[in-house]
Amino acid sequence: MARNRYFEDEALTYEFSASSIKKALRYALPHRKTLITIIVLMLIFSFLALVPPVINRYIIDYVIRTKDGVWGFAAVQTLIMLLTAMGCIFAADIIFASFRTLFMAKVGHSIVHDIRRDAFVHLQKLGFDYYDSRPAGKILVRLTNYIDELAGVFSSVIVNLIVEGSKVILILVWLFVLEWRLALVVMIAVIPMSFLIAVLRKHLTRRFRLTRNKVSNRTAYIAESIQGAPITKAFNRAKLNTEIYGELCDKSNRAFIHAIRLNELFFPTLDGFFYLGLMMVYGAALFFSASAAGLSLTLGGIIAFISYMGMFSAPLNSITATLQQLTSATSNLERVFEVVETPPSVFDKPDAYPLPPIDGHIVYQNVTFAYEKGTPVLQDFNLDIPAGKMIALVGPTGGGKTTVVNLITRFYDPQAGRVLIDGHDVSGVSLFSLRGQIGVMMQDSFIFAGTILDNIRYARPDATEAECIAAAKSVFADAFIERLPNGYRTVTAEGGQGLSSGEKQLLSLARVVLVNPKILILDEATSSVDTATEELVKNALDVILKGRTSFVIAHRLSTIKKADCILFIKDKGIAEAGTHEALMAKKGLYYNLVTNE
Amino acid sequence: MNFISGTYPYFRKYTLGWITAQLLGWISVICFTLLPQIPQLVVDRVLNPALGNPAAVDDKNVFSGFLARYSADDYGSMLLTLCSIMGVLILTRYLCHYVRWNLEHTIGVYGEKRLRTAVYAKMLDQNSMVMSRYTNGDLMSICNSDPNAIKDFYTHTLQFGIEQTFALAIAIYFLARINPYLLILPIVLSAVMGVAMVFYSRALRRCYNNIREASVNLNSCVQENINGVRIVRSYAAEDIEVKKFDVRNKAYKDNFIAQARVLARYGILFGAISQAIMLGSTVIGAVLAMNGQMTVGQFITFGTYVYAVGFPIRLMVDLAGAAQNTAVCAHRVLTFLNTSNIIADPPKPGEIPAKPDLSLRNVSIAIDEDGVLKNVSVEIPYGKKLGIMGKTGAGKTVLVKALCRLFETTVGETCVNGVNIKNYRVEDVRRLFGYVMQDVFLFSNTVDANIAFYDPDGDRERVKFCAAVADAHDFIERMPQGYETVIGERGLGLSGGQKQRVSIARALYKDAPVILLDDCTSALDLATERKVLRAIDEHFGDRTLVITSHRASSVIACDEILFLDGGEIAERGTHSELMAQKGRYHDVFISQEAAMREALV
Repeated sequence: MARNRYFEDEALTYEFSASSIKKALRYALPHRKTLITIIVLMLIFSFLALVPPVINRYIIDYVIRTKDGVWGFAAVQTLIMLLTAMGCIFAADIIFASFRTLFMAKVGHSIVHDIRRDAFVHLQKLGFDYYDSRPAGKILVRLTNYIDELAGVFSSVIVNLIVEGSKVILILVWLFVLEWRLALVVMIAVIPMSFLIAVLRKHLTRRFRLTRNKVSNRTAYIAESIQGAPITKAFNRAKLNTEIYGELCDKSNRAFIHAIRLNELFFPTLDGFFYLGLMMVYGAALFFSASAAGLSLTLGGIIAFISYMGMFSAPLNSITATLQQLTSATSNLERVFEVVETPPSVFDKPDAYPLPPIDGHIVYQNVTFAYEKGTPVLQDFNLDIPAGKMIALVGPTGGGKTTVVNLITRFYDPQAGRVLIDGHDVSGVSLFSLRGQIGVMMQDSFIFAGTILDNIRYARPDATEAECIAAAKSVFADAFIERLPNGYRTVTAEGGQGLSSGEKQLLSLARVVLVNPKILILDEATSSVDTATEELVKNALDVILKGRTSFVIAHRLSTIKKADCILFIKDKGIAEAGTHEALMAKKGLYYNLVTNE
Repeated sequence: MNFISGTYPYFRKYTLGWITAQLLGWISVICFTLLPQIPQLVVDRVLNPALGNPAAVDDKNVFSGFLARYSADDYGSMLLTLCSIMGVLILTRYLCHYVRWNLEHTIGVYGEKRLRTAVYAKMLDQNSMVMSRYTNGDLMSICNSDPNAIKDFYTHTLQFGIEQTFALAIAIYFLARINPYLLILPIVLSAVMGVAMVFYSRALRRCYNNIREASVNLNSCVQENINGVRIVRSYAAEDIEVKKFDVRNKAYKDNFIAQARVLARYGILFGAISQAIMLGSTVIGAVLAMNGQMTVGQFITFGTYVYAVGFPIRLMVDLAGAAQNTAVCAHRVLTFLNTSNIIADPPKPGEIPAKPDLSLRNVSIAIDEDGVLKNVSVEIPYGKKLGIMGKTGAGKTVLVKALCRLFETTVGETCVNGVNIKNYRVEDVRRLFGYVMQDVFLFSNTVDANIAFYDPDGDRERVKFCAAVADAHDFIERMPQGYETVIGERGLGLSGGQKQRVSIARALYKDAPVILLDDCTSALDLATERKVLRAIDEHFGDRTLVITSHRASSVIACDEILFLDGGEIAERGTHSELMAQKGRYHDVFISQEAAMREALV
C-alpha cells in the first residue's frame, strides 16, 4: 500500500462536479424554510432600498427647492412625514439585518455541524488501510480546519447567488426598459467581463487546490512533530526539524502567493468593467442625443440610468466575492467529500445480519491475505478451533501472528477464503455485532483523555463503578490505580501521559475484561508488565480465559505453555501445531525457540 | 491590543513593506474619493448642454481646469478628456490595489512563517513539564491556526483600520468644507458608539474564548479518535465515539450561534447609531437648505459624504471584533512562547567530554508533589553497564530521563565528569545519549529515514549496519521496497517487535557514547532480545549502557543492577551479589528461571 508522507501532495481522488454541488445543497435542505424566508425578506428589503433616493428627491423638489410641500401638506410637515417614512425603513432594515446575522449563522453552523458529523461518522467506517496510508494530521485537517472554513460560505453562497442574481436580472430588465440602446452598450461591457471572470476562476481553482495540498502537508508535519517531540529532543533534531518546517511553510506560502496573484485581479476586472460601461454609456448618450433618432431619456433619466447601472455593479460585486469564496471553498469541499465518499474496505454487506450470541468456534478456510499486493502474509491458511480453547501463537516477529487474529475481528478482509465463527461467515454479519463479542487487547495500549474509570468502561459506558473496580482488581490493576492521586478518578491525558507502559497495559486489560467477550485476543497484552505483576496477571488470566476461545500472542513461555494448542506461524502459514509437550517432543522449530531461551 | 508588542517583532522586518502598502492604500482611497467629481462635470458640462440645457460651471470641482481650454460646445473633446482622467484614476487605483494586496499577502505569510517557526521551535524546545499542561489539540491550535489569525490581524484588520481612518478623515474634511454644523451629529454619535464598543469588545472576547475552547475540545476529540482508531474498531465503540463527538460538535456550533447572538444584538445598536447619523444629517441638511444656507447641489454631495463617514464607522465595528479574536489567539501563543520554564544554556557552558562519566547524586524528582524518584545515587563511569529493574511505575524511566535531562531533578544533581549537567549546553548533553524510549514513536517516512533520523545525510552503509545490530536488517530487506518502504505514523504496518528494533537501530545510528535502552525489548522474544543485546555488546561494547527491563535475563550481565521500588533503590549490586542477598531480585530471577525451566520439561 502506498503511504503518503508529510511532504507529498495527496492525489485528489474526488473531482468536484455538478453532482457534488447537489450533494452540498442537500445539507441546506433542512434549513430551506429559514433560507427561503431570508431570501424573500432580502428581496423585499433590496427593493425598499430603492425608496430612500425617491424620498430624497421629494425632499429636494418639494421641501428645499419649491418649499411648497406635497399632497396638500406644508413644507415642514412634508419633511417630517418623509423623514418618518425613511426612519421606519431604516429601523426595519436594521432589525432585519440583525435577524439575518443570527439566522444565517444558525444555518451556516448547522450545515457545517452536519457535514462534520457525516464526515466523522463515515470515518468510523473506514478500515485501517485508510489510516495506515496517510499521516493522521492530514485526516485531522479535513475534519477541522477545512470544514471550519466552510461556515458562512455555504449559506451566504445560496442566499447571495439567489438574491443578488435576481437583483442583477431585474436591474438588467429595468435598464432595457429605460433605454434599450444604452442597455445594449452596457451588455457589450458585461459580456467580456463575465468571460474573463470565468477564466480567472478556472485557474484560481487549480491554484487554491495546490495551496490546500501544501497547507495539508504543513499541518501533517506539525501534528506528527507534536507527538514525536520527545524523540526529536532526545536526538537533538530540533534545529533540522525547524528547517524542514520552514521549508514546508515556504512551499505553502509560495502556493498561496501564486494563487493571490490571480485572486487580486478579481476586483479590478469587475470594477474596471463598470467604469468602462459608464464611459461607454456617456459616449453613447452623447452620440444618440446628437443623432437624428434622438435620445428617449431626459437628463434626469440618464442620471437615473447611470445610478441603476451603479446598483447593477453592487450585486455583481457581491456575486464575484461569493464566487471567489466558493472557489476556495470547493477545494475544501472536495477534500471533505473525498472522506465521505471513500468506500470503506471493510463494511457491512447489504444483507448483513447480527451475529447471534456465539460460543466461539472458529474456523479458517483456505484463507489468503496480503497487505501489499503480491506479498501474501498468509497463504491458504486453514485452522479449526473448538469453542473455549486457548490458542497460543508463536513465531518470528512479522511472521503473521497479528494478521491471523486481525482477520477474526475483520480489521482486514482476506483476499481469498473465509473465516467462520460458529458457522457464520464473519464477512456476512454486522461489524458491530461481531466486534461486540470479541475482546482484543493490542500491542499498543491506547489510553483516552479522561478518568481511569472512563477508560475502563470505555466500551461499556453504562457499567457501574463497582463493576469497573472489580474488573481492575481481576487483572491486578487495582494496586497502582489506588496509588494515583485521585484513584479511579484520576484524569489521564490523551495517550496516557504519566502512566508507564505496563500500567497502560493493565488498564487496557481491565477494559477488555469488563466487556466479558466470548472470544478474547491478547496480542502482546502483557509484554511491559513487570514480572511480579505478570505473575498475578497470569493467574488472573487463568480465570479470565476460562469458558472463552482465546488467542494469545506472547513471548513468555509461562503464558504460552498453558495453551491447548500452540501454533508456530512462519512463512505464510502454520509451521507447527500442538500442545507444549507434543511440540517439545517433536524437537522442531518450537523446541529450538524454547531451548534457545 | 497589548498583544502587538509581543507579536509585532515577527513582522517588524517588513515594516517598510507595510508602510508602502498603506501608502498605496491611501492613494487608492484618494482616487476613489476623486472619482465622483467626474460624473458631475459630465452631467453639467457635456450631457446637460448637449440636451439643450444651459451648462453649469462649478469652479470648486477638482477637474474643471482640464476643461478650460475647450469651447463650451466641444462636447466630444470634453467627454474624451473626462473619460481619460477617469481612466487614469481607476487604473492608478487598480495598480495600487493590486500591488498593495500582493505585497500585504506576501509579507504577511512570510511574517507568519517567522512566527510559526518560532512557535514550532519552542514546541520542540519546551520543557516536558510545560508540554504536559497542553493537550495535543491545544498545541495543534497554538502551532497551526493561531499564527494564521495573528497574520490576518496584520494584513487585514490593522491595515484596513488605518486606511479607513484615513478615509474617514478625508470624508470629514469634505463634510466640514460644506458646513461645519454637519459634523455635530457624527461626532456625538461616534462618542456613544465608542462607549458601546467597549462593552461589545468585552462580550465578543468572551465569545471568542468560548469558541476557541470548544474548538480545542473538538479537535482533541477528533485527533484522539484518529490516533486510537485500533481501539475504537476493536471495541466496536464507533457509536460511543460518535456520541462523544456529537457533544463537542454541538458545543462548537452553539458557541458560534451565541456569538452570532451578540453580533445581532449589538448590530441593532450600531446600525441604529449609523442610521441616526444619516437621518439626522438629512434633517440638519434639509433645514440648512430650507434656510438658504446650502445649495441644492451641495445638499446632494453632502449626502454622499455623510455616507462616506458612516461606512468606515460601520467597518470599525467588524475590525474591533476581528481584533478581539486575534487578542485571544495571540494571548495563547505568547503565553506559550514566554513560558520561562525552559532550559536555558549556561553563560559559560562546559566542554562536554567524549567519554563521559555519569553520576546521579542524591537525586529526587517530584511530579505534582508526588515523589517518583527518591534520593537515588549512582555512579556510571564510562563503559559501565548498568541494569535497572523494578515494578511498573517504580521510577525506572524517570531515572533514565534524569540522566539525559529530559527531566529536571527536584533535589540533588546529575553530573557529567563530576560537573552538574546544568553547566553544559542541553544540546551537548543530549548528544551523549542514544536513547531508545519505552513508547516507540516512528515517523511516517521511509525506514531508512527513520533510522538515519539523527543525521539524515549520513552514511547509508551505517544505516544497514545499525539495523543488522538491532536484528532488523533481515525483515527490512524482506519488505516490498526494503529500506525505502514508507512506514505509517507511529510505525503503522510494523509489528510491535519490529518497531522496537527499528527504534533501537535509530538510537545506535546516533553513535553516542551512552546507550539508554528503556524497556525497549518487551515485544521481542527472548531469543531475539538476547541476539540484539549480544550484538550491541559486540559492536558497541566500549560504550556505557543503561538498560531497564522486567526480565532479569536482560540485565544479568550488567556491572551493577539497581532494583527500584517506589522510586527508591531497594537493592543494588552485581547479579551474583543480589542473588546472594536473596531479596526481591533473587525472587524475581528465580520465578523467571523456574518458568523457563518448567518450559523445558
